[in-house]
Amino acid sequence: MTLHVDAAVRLGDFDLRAELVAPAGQVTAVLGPSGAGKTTLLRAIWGSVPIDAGTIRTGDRVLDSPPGTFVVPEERRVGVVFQDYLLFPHLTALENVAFGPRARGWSARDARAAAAALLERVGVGSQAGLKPRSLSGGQAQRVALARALATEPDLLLLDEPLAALDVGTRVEVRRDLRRYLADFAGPAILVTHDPVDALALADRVVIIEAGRVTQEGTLGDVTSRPRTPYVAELLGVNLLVGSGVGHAVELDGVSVATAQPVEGPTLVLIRPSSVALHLHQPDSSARNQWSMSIGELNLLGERVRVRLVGPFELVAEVTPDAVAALGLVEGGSVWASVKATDVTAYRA
Amino acid sequence: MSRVRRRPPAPVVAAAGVTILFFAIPLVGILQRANWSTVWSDLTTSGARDALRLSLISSVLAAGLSIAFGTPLAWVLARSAVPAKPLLRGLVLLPMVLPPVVGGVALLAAFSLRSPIGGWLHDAFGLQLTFATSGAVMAETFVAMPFYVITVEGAMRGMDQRYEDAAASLGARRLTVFRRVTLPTIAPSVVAGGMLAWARALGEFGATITFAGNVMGRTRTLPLAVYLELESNQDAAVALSLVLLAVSLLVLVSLRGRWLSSS
Amino acid sequence: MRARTEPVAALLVLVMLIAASCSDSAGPSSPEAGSKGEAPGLSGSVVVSAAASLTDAFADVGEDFSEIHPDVKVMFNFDSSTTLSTQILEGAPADLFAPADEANMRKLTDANLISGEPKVFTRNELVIVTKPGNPEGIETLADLAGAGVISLCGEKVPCGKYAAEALAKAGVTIDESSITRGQDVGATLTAVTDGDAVAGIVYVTDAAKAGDKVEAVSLPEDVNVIATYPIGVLSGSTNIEVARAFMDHVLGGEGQEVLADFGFVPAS
Repeated sequence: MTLHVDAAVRLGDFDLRAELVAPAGQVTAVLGPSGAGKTTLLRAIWGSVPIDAGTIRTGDRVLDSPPGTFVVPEERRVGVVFQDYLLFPHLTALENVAFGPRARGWSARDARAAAAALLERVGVGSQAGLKPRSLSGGQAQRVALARALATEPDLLLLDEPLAALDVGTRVEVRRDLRRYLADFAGPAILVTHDPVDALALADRVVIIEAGRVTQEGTLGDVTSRPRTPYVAELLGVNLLVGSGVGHAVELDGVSVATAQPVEGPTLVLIRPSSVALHLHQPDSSARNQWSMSIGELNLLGERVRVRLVGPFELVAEVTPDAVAALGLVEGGSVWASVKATDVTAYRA
Repeated sequence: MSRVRRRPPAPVVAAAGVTILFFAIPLVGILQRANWSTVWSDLTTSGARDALRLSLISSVLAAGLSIAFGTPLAWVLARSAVPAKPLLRGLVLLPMVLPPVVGGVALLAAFSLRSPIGGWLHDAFGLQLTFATSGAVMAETFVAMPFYVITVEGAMRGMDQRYEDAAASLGARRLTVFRRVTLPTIAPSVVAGGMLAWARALGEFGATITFAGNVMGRTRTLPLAVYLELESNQDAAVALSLVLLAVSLLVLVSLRGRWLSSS
Repeated sequence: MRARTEPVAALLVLVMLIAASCSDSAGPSSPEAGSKGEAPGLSGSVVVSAAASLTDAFADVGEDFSEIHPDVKVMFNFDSSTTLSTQILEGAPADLFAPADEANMRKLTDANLISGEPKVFTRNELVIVTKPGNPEGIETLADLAGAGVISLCGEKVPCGKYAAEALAKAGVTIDESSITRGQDVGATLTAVTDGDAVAGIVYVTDAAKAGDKVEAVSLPEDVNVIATYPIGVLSGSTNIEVARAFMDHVLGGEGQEVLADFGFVPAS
């Protein structure tokens, strides 16, 4: 069954109005800057915050629909992996995982057996007898996941599940998490501020900014057609806003040539790798040529990101060799060119 | 460099030292007054043994009642949105600041044989609280329970309530959450509050003598015995005082200020 | 300026402590500051440590005395006689001592703490007090045994000793577990008036004071005990002149009259 959220929540000064759909068997990543309302959205879904208007339902089962319906958290059948896991410190890993089944009325023996099997499955079977303070970050994360899954929830929520881990552990846990999420039959929602998590784990992405959903779609949709500066920055691409006139998009006094005809308000996507840099005005076939100055140089692994300032701002990505050959320095002048075929333009 | 730990200024240290002396000197006084050669025999007279036994029983019962009835109250005060909570909390904590004798008078007014409730209890169940050990326990509980409630309520407020949320998301009902998550988390404060209440009950005098009277073997607890012995056998009074002192100090030191570390 | 406040605070504490300890040795009998030194009459203040049973009577006596000697201030310290004698033996400052028995006075004369001879100034009798209407029908001391919880003074306090004497004379034994013991006669009476004690043994004067909150059952003369109240000036008094004047006043006609009003029996 699919999770449908159409909710308005007001918490003090903060105001969240979100509409999203999370299909069963898929991982929906909720991505957004901190303070955008991601955690509030999760809390509304599992019931720790009642919504002020709208409806939250899984399939036909309404979880919250003021003023009439409010299902208390303990009856929602929503598994939650909390940001800092919130494993009960006085219980062992096994008891933590058995807690949910016990609370739902399983016998102690059944609950423990199920918990032991789950811990085994997520790879921390030998840590079953340890208290949370003796677990490493990665182990605690796995126990938290097992605890959330142990109640056989309709829905799985993960709040920044990898944020507390160090880089090395994160890669490994992310890989395993991908496997466990694939096995989960219901909708899974993954809240994160790290696009890498979304790319690695999610099928669909929902972008939340300042309490509003600004973009929603498959991973492919979002990466190929970012709609807000925030998403563009996450993806590390150039996003320009202009007005389409035939085979060009008019920006402020500058026009960008496109291969496809465009009309009306238009977003222009230019990948930094598509931007070529020259010392002199190129006589190439590229129809987009601008004289710009170099604002900043950043070495990123094998590539150098060059922030250009001119009629508009543009980021180019070149090899360190090219930087040396062209003698690029911050503050220097340079020509930038982009082929019309490398410009993606779509309606704003 | 933080190699040198910052200390309060010398005058403050000096003033604090004077304050410590203020508390320490009376202790030294009673220690040097003790007649150590007779302490053991003074403590083993039948009167003293009765008082010790009675004090132990009644104070443990008072601490137990404080835990049994104080825990739900602390829960309500810490977690629910009852109206007029400040008033409610003030009411509960009143016995901490009230002279215990006043508490005793109030208990007497409410539960003596001639009061409506006390009379009814006696007529309906043959229960008499005055001059009975149950009355002494009640007076001690009245005075001691606030110490427990304030400690446990503070701990409940201070704990990370997201653990309770987590338990709820796992399907645990509120009572289960309380029993399996809240209580274990605040267990140290429950112990600390219980011991504090016990120590207070052990030292209770005013409310007990006023409400329950001073009957040997039934309501004459250690502090009452101390007061009575002051009239006749000072050595015995000092010996009994030493027991109270030692036990109370032991409790407070072993708690290491845990009832403060709540919020 | 700011830097000075801390030492000042510390000093203040010290000064307070020293002041508190000094006032002990100076004693309350030091002449009142600003009293009219040229007046021919007595001046200053005295502390009278008196048995709890004297509370109301002595308050009146003290008022009369202050009327005669307007520059004199009389302060009272009422408690059980045993507590008072203990306090004085411990060095508590007082100018006069008026216990409810001679034993406690003897403790002080034995310790050479009394200046001159103490004198018996009044007497008192014991009485049984019961709830109004005497619901238990108590007529004699023998009725007290088994009637319920009886309120008596502490065994070593005069009113407790007198009660024990009276019970012994009557050949009555009350089980200790049926006795609640008051630290002084006032507390003993309160257990009957406000508490659930069935009856108590107190002084006639206290029974009178309680009015209709109790019913008094008098004891036959052969078992009754007469409490004798001595008064003496303490040798440690810093205002012996005033103390003697107060003692004379108590023994004199006016003082005796007030005591009689409260139900005390004349000394002779």
